[in-house]
Amino acid sequence: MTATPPVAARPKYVGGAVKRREDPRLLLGRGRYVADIHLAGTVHMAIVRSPHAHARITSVDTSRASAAPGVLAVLTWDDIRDQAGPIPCIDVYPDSIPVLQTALADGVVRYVGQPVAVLVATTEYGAEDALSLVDVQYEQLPAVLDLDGATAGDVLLHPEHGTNVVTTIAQDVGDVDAAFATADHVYEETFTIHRYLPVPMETRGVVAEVDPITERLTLTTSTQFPHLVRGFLAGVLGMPESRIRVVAPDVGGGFGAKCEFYCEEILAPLLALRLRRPVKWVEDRREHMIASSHAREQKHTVRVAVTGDGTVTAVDARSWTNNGAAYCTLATTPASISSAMLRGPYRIPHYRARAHSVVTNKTPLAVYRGAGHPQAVLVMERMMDIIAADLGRDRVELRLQNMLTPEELPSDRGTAIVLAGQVVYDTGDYGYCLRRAAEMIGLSPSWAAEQEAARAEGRYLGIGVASLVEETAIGPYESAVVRVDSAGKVTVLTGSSPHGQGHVTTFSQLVADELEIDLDDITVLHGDTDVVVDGVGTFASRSAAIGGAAARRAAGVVKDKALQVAAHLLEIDVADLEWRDGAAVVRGMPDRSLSLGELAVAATAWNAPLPGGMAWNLEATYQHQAAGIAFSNATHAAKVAVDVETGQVEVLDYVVVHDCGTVINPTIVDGQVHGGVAQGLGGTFFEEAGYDADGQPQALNLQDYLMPTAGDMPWIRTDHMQSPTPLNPYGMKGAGEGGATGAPGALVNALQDALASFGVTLASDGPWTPERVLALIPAEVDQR
Amino acid sequence: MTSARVRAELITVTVNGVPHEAAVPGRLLLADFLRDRLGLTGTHDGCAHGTCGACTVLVDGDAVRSCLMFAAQVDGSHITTIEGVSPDGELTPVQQAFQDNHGMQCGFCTPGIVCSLTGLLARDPAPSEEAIMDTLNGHLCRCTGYQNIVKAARQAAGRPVEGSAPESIGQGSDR
Amino acid sequence: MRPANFDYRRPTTVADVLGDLASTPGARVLAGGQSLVPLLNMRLVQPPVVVDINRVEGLDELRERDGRLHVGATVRQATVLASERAQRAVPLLVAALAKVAHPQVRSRGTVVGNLCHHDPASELPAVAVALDAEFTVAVQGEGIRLIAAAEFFGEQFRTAVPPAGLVTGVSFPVAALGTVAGFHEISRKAKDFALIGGAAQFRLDTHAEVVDARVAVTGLGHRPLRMTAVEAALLGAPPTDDALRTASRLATGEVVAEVNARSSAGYRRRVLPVVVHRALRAAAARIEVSA
Repeated sequence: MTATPPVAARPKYVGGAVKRREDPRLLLGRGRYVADIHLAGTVHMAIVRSPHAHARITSVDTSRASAAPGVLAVLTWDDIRDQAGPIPCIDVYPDSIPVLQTALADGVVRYVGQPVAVLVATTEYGAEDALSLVDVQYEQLPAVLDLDGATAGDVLLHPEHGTNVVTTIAQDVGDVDAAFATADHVYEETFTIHRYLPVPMETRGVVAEVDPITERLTLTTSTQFPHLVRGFLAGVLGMPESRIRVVAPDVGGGFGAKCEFYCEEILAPLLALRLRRPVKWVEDRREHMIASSHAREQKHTVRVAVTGDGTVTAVDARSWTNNGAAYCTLATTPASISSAMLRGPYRIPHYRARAHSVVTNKTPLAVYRGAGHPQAVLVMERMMDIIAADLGRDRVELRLQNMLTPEELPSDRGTAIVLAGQVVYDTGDYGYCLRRAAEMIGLSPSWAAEQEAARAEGRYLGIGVASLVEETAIGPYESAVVRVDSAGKVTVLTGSSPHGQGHVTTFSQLVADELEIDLDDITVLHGDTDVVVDGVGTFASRSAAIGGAAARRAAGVVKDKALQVAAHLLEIDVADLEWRDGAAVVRGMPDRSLSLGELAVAATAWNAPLPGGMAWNLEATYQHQAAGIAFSNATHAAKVAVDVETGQVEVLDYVVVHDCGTVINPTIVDGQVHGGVAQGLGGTFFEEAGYDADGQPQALNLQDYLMPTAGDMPWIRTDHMQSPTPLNPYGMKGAGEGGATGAPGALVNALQDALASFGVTLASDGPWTPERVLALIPAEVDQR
Repeated sequence: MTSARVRAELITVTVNGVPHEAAVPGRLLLADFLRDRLGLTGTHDGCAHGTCGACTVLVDGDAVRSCLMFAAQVDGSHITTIEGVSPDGELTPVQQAFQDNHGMQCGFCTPGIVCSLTGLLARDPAPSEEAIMDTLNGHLCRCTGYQNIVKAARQAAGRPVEGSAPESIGQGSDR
Repeated sequence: MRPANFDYRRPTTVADVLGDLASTPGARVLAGGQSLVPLLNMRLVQPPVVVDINRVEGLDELRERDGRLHVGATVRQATVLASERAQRAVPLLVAALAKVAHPQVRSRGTVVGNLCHHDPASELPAVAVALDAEFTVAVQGEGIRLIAAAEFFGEQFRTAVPPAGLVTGVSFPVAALGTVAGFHEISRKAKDFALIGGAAQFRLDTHAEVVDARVAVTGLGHRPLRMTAVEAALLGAPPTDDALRTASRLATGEVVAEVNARSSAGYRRRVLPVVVHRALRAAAARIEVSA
């Protein structure tokens, strides 16, 4: 047999900066978001919401609204209480006190914005007009808003439980007390983390319809996890899942706010069933600020034990999460992650955490990009700087001394994350990312002198770093179907439902490489539970690693079958075939090949059935189960300048050195990092969901809730290293949340560095407004 | 209380080159007219108070917030929405720059930004960095962190795409 | 977030506008709409009638007459900002306009509308007070009334415009040759509302010494304040940075905590001299340019 002539290797898509396939459609204005759906006969839903933080509903009179022109229905809790169960929470602990919300308030309202009544009218404007015609009488109750007050328990949201502390999570590793007993230094700090709003640019929205042909319920909703919504809705309405179709169309951002199951996703279906007309609701921006999930707010008290040589031996941590008035669908996850991941990349052999979830009269709190990670990173990274400063140690060196090395991985950390499982760090070189980031930002031995020189000229500069390890790619699984049509074109179905992440592109890259075909030969479908029967969703940086792995494995199964079909047709052994350029090729005879399309036709030929009971069609379903959590890591480094006359902070430079395993598309990963950093920067300097003493929210629109615009952002420089995870065959980890996770820690440490000469110790994530920064600077500082 | 019977205004307006006549109630927002009456849903409503910029369209060549105008006000005007930026369905240089630079993720804010930049470049094919940033500062995007949007805008304006903006632009300060 | 019903009117003469305003108490004037429409959409105001003045003849004029630049009620901020005539005649107005909102807002927003809205965080009222602007107000049955800027601004969001009156324009004195102007504001982020803003303008005489200094600050209280002590201290000396800073330290004025509450009274008080100094410095930086 002659040697096979060398064939130029087909270029791989994975790892390439492939342009997004979804973009042209969106750029031409052809996207279809929930609000864009206009079904014939649509009627419009509007929600009467509580104006009080805490009140008893003494009466609801719907008669005037019901009589208004165009109003078709007005419902209160009494009208639906027999038809709708409470909103489920899927991350409760066994001993969690159940504080679940109902679709409309049951007698008591517990936050401003809580739905009290719902109405439907023939026009959107008319529905809003009718809201003021629903007369609700309240008897106000005292409200409790802050963690200390709620923990004290003078005002109880749910008096029957006797406490506002509804879940306590414990993490115990090693012998903390013994470590403190032998410590040379003990540091204690309390950190506050403020309340954020995720604020996707598209608000939520739903269209519910009873399909006139099948009489099944169709709910189109702006969600990150249509398959889970199908299950939740079935449970709440007591309706079989088979009678429900959930569709996520184009979704205009989520960030966790759409990783929830909401009142409106119950109310619109109920009304559609009642009225037998399509019922549409698009959340307005004011509603979004009070009725979509809030995020982040926590308090942490940590004690850290350190030996004389700078080894951090133990952390003893308590945290309190302000969960708002009730559990969300994902309610304890932020506290769980914060407590499980607080030690970040550091060895710290002894660890104890008690994380309390506390209810207050604020909007319910849930996950937001990074969930509990950013809080934990802020706390740990501030502590590392505090310890380094006290011991007179270099910040980077102290971190490196305590960091797990690649040789120490995998490392069972002895903690656990709800829904995700045991924390066992898989792969990574945390020290590399830190050293590289420090080098890129200019944190060299001469930095202190540079800083001093700048200060002499009135320029207060600071550099901060924050290193992080991040739980990504959680299970339990994701499904994929890969199917080949008679033209050899491939359809990929994925249960992972995107909202900007670029699944169509990255999943195409994976499948194209597996089958050695062109991207344009692939169609990726998602977001419709009737098209993709099985799925989990897009959250927790899981899509590429879990959903992508499933898609590629499914393609692999299809390829194996195609080879078997080819062997049958060519009457040769399958071992004599190889797969090349989307075709089965006889080894050593490149002219003898059968293309994917030819093989797909053969797999469906009536007159020449496949042998041995082989199933018809070139199609495979694959479920990729996560064998564990994949942990990404990164170091962020920021350089800031503080205007000591005004308190304004300018971020001069920003570096992220990131490791999310195998990178499918570096451009998309960079985009995820940029977006996350912007959200972290926004929270550090601008964004705050404040409340007044009566529980009235202060951020009701986008002028009050300030988010970064283009001019606020530094130019972010990224560098990637790739430590593949062994948890899937392709080595991918998650990339979606690291940007938001690291930014607050790095920025606050940079601000601390800039202001250190004033003797301040920052113990809050901000937002560091000009006013709050200036308050740290003595009035007599006036260098210019 | 408002009356259910309200006078409608008769308007004639040209949208993406197509003339339309319509009777609109005074309170009908231009954004709703375009989306609900004309089916041009590429114009997005992200806040309805003029802050986010997702609803930006061109009215007689000017980039405006269509949530802050009433349909009754555009009588006699020529409007371009995202659907009309590229009448033939081929990406314009501005649109192509967004794909080339990954200047978008979820795509919700994108049509407004494309309209703004299209309006800017129609007036000034070679705008300064300051003019680009002034335009982009009128838009909120929650996905991209803006860096790749800035790159896309620079590419469309024929400027080098990489690197920090001049210092004078950050923070809107005169320092 | 959609407006309550209202009756939309689109008169074409000032007389008809006045008639519409007079016939329905609570009627609101719609010019650029960049302040009014958000309020309508949030239903924070629910006027029975909205009078759109954008088709009223003669209100869109921007012209110089009798030593003043006249800005009609429907002249867009973008038009003034792009006008070389305005830049030459009232450089302070143009410097402030560059800080107002964004191009997509300035394309509709009007100079007069911004002043009439009288947001205490807005830039333009400080310019009006600094330059002794004059408002032209049409009042039914009375004709035209002129109101000086010093009398125009009431408590926040209020003005001296009588009920059913229409501000048809505002005029600013044309700056003498060699006048320099600067505007500086502190905001929470790029292009946000001002926490505090300073407007400064002066001219150098033949000895390169300051004459005709005008300084005003917005954001402190209900209305913009002239910084007369600062103005006086600047006169007759060269505008060195030390001189500007020393003069700025004389900036003073009542700070009202509950007005423009995006920052505390204490903060605004502390940064007041800084804002004045930087506004003056921005003006001084233009000296060579205009010389």
